[in-house]
Amino acid sequence: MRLSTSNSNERLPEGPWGRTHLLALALVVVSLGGLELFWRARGHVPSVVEDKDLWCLQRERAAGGGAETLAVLGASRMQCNFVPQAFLEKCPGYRIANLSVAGAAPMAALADLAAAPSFRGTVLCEVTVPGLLPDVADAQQEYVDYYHSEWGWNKRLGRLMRTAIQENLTFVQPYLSLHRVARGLLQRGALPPPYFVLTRRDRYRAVDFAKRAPWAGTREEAPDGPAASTPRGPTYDTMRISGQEWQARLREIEAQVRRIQGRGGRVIFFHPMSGGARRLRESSLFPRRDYWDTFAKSTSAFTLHWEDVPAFADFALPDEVHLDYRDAPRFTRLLADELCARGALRPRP
Amino acid sequence: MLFNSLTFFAFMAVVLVLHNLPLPWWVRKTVLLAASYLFYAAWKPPFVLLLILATVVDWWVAGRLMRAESRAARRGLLLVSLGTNLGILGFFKYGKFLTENFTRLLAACGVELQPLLPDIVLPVGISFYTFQTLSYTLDVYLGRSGTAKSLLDYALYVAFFPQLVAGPILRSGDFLPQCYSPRRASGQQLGWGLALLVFGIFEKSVLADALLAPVSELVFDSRARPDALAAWAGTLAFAGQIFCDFAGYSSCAVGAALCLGFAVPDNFKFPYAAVGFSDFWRRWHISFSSWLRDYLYIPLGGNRKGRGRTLVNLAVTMFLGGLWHGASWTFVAWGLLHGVYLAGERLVRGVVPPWRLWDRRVVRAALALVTFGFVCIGWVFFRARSFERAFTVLGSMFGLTGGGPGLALSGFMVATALGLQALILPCHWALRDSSLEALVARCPWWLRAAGIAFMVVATATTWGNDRAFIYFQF
Repeated sequence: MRLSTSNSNERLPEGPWGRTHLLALALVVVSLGGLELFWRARGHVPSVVEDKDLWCLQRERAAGGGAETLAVLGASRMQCNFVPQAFLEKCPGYRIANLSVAGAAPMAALADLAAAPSFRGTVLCEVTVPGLLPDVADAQQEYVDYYHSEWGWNKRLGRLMRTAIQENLTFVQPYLSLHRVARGLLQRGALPPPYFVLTRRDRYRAVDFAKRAPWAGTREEAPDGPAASTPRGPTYDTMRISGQEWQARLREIEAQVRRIQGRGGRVIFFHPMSGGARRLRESSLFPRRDYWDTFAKSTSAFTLHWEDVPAFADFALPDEVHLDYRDAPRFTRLLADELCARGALRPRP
Repeated sequence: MLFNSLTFFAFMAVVLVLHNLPLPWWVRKTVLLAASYLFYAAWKPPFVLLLILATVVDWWVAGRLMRAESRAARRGLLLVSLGTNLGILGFFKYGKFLTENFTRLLAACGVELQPLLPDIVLPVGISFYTFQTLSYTLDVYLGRSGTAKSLLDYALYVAFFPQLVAGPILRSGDFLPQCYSPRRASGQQLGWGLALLVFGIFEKSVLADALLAPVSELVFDSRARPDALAAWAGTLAFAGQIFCDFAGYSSCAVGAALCLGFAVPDNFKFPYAAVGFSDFWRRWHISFSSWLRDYLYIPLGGNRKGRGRTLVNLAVTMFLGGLWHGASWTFVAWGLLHGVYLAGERLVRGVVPPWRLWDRRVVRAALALVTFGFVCIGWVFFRARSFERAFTVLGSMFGLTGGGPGLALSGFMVATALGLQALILPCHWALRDSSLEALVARCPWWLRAAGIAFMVVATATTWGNDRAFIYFQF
């Protein structure tokens, strides 16, 4: 039975469509080209846009490699302080999979790797004591679930294409969206300044604190960045754990560690640096002696607390947790040296 | 695979090249079919088998129907088709919903049951292609049309990628004849098809995702009670969002089909200019509303069996129409509300005298606004995740909630929602008896080029959160 509705084919607008589309193409090229030059002239540069698909590309690297795989887990401190290229200068031959997620504790990713039979590499997991607690055990679970339920060839292809575009064009960055720029003009009477965080395709985020000032506190216009990322789940200020619960949690984590070790892999836990009021708060809520040290004793994984490496104390942390991009490579090389010197990591896989 | 994705651009470019190669027509149809399955497999490859199953079952049933002579045999074959299609739909779409509600019903009767709730993945587009294959079988059963000339033609009718996952729901009588003769897009078809693709993506990416969705999400996904202005702004934003999202998809579907030389029916005709609810359903999701009319409402008796039965038929049709949208009582409520609207309109038409006043443009515009207002009330149930949230938003809209100040939106967000709706409504009204094609036909070529360029630039430079098309979940 036919539908009585009309269709567009019956009403085709006539005209020189070839000429029309050619002119449209020319206008698009001129407009976007002009926009690109405009933003670059104001100091903006291309940056890869962080999303779950980018994480999944890294997760695939973790799944596909063998003993040479180094899965880097953590939150924003690992994403901003650990530079994969700098690490490879010291420890060449590793296949790095950067699975850290800003604003989210990494234990769900660790559980996922523990449950993945194909993963036989090394896990370098940056985690604070609050990040070990059950309250935030599933902070990165949405990424894990997305990888297992949504990720596929279609999204891989799309993400690779978007990465190629984002690495070369400035105007495609979310904070330079025309509607956001328009809103900013209406509300502040100014165009957005260059964003102070640049993301690379390997998910390393270079933070330039010299450019940070105009962005401080403006979450809405800064969709991704350590200062603007919204923590997933409860913050450490509100988390508490009883002695019994803590022991149970440590056993749970150890079980995951042993699964990885049983396949020939290694696990390293690194407590990242913090400074100022943040450090005082962390150490008062979760004293090292009662939490990190008991964790270190309970696990068969290698553990390293930043306070045990005097050189780490020399690094400036402008926002109390993250390094400026000028310091991050030096920190990474130092971390690699320490881990190798202490036998936690082989200089070559 | 989303229309507004780089993957689709690459896919479409390859398909266009292959479709225009000097190859036999059956080869090009096979390429289109393979491309359609690849398009569907971009989501979850194993579910292509489900699509193929629905295709093969109904192809076989229709073929046997043409040869069956006894009424019992014909009915039996129809039941096979109904059972397969509705069974697939029922399991994947309503399995968990039915289990949960059955458990609740038993609990209300004092019987505690803890069933295993299966984790069923809803195959994308299942509501669309099952209805499409059902319409084919029903048409053959009722003698309204014959069978497709080949399995290839029929499979292409079911899986044709421009309309596979979110319509328009095609009728075999419209599409199959197009498969029988070789076709490529003419210059006009390709030119207008590409323009429609751009337009559809602009509607979806810029208007729906970037501008309107953030406003509606803030109101409907928050736990806080919105203030009156926020409630209205959120509702108007969603009214705009769902139209731009779905009509945008349909524009892309029509445009992509035209680029391949195929015509698919209109799915929207400026619905927010509808005068009355019957008119609304002749303009909103036309392929779906006409499916309900032809295969449900009319077979139930339509309006031929007295007023009381007509009202019942309307209620049943709209109840199922609401349920089709999703396994949730809020969708059912939305459907039933439209059933009440339609029934109420019938009753009003029956008592109001046919004054000439009703034909005056100003009066009709006022009635269109009233219709739009009631439609927006229905959208509250459609969008809200629970009845509690729906009634909270409605209460705020009509000042029925007390307490302190509620959730307020920024001036920019309110202006965005109201401003865009203030553009959409007059556009719909101006074009309600015309068409987008007629409007474009009046524009000089350089103005068309500027319009296309504007939409491309806006799409390339406007980023919202990546959202799937709303109707992908149905």
